[in-house]
Amino acid sequence: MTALLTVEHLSVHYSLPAGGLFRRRPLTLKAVDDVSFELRAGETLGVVGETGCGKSSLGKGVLQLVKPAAGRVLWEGQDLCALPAEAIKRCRKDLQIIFQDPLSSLNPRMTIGEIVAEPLEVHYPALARDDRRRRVDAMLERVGLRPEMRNRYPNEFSGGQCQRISIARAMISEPKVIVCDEPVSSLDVSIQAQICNLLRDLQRDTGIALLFISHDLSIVRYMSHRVLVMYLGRVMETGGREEFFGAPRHPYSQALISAVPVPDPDRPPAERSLVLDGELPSPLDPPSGCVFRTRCPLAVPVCITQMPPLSEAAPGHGVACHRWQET
Amino acid sequence: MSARPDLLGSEALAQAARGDVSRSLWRQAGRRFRRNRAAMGSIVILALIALTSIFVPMFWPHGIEDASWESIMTPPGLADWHWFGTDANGRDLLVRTFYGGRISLTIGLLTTVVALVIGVTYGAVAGFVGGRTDGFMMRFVDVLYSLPLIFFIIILVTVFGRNIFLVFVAIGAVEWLTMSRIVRGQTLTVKAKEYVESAVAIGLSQGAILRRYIIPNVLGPVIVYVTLLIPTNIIVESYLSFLGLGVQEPLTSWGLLISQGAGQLDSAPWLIFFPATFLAVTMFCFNFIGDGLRDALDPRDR
Repeated sequence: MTALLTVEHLSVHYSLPAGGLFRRRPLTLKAVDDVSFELRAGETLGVVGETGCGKSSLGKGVLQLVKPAAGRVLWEGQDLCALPAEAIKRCRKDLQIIFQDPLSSLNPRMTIGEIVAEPLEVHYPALARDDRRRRVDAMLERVGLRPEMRNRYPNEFSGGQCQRISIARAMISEPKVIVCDEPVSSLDVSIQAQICNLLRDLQRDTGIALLFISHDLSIVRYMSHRVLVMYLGRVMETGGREEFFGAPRHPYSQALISAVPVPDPDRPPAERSLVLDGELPSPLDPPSGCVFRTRCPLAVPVCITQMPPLSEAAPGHGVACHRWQET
Repeated sequence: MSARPDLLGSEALAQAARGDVSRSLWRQAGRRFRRNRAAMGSIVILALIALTSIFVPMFWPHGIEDASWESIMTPPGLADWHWFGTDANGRDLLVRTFYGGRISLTIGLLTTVVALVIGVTYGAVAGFVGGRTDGFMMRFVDVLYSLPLIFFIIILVTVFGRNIFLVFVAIGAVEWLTMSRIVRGQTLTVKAKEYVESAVAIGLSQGAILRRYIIPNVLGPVIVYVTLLIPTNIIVESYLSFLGLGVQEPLTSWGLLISQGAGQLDSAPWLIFFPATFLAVTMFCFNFIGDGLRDALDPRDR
């Protein structure tokens, strides 16, 4: 299968302006540093990592909601990073996003009918009013809301319902890619399952590709075909779901997977846990060489001086570690 | 059929069939506002005060400058159309109170419009552009803030002489500072909201984002502040007139009438009672309307 969206060496930097008594030089925070991946039609790529590892910045950088500092995002033969703003707007019909906080991502002064209809107004201004309403109603029904709710306001809905509205808004322009930026993290577990199933159903029916960002490994395992692990803005490991969860090669991935709680009281507690020492270093001052070396149980001197490249451990399975062959 | 409760929203469907209903939150806010009795009552009273202030001086048998030797310091009564009594020059207090209402209300409204226009533009630009421009613009506001109002007005009066127009300028020029801060803060808050990002994500233009997302979400607090700014400005004018820096004879305002009445509190208490009552009632009304609007515009606060 060919790639729908190709991201090459994408970097997203935030600059903190100089100021105050103690900081005379502007600081650069490398939220995303040299990340490459491909997204194929109909697949879900799960992006996992700790808070602050650059997952959300990656999603926003891909959609040009944050201007990337370097790299390319190839979409239908064009580099989105090099396109003028007007041309990017036309591409937004096909590239959509669902945000983490369902209520705050909906304009409180618009009815949900207006919220869902807005992408149609922007991208299909010639669409007749009746036709637009029919599509909005069908979309609301598709995401599990009653069309009669269209004249209500977001604050009249629960978190799960708001997330359904967000999904309807993202889906109505019939996009090909949706970035799901932690779409279920702020919902109850039972609602999380509903929203995940809704996204999977929509993917099955429309063949949409999802970039599914989450810090919850079990959800990523449920949702994704392939997985990308990030740490301090860099890719640690990437591979298919079965290979990744079955045999993670990177020590960070191994630690993450062993930290997933297993709901089985009879399981011996220390059987396979690999607990990381130390704390996440400041992204403003990342370690030299391999960014993970300060917490890595396998760190050797070469990790301090050299950044490990993403080596191919198996076809389609990349690991950024100097010692991946030993893991 | 009609006896059944509308569980499935068939009423909403019927409404939808008739055309788009409730395009925005404003209609709902209006409905909530109309249910607020204190606010609706205040609007009626304010309208009465405004209408009488406009029309009564046109028809009243006495003019505002008509002094009369026969009726100096007449207490309130029905005789000779001096319902509110007369002052030391025998001028009719009723016509002067209503005429003062014209001036006070006009000053309240005009200075608020001045403050609204300057403050909203300045604050929205500072908040929307952000960065160094924002810092510079807001430090300028801080500098002006530190200048005492009374000092500023004394300078203006000394340089340009006494003039009612100057009162507008002076009050408007000071009151826009708070407005600009409110608008800037609101713009910053709204700009950082995820729904603005979602508007960018669907490809909406900057103008449409400003129109549909920023302004409707900034406007609520601004409208509330406007209804509270009008009475504030009326009070400021009163206090300037009380100090002899505002409206000058033979024109009059509530503040000026109160200041004159205060000097004769022992001998003619009605001289302060009537204008002070009108001023106080007006203040109450504006404040009730402001409260009502705040409740109506932001239902989540309740």
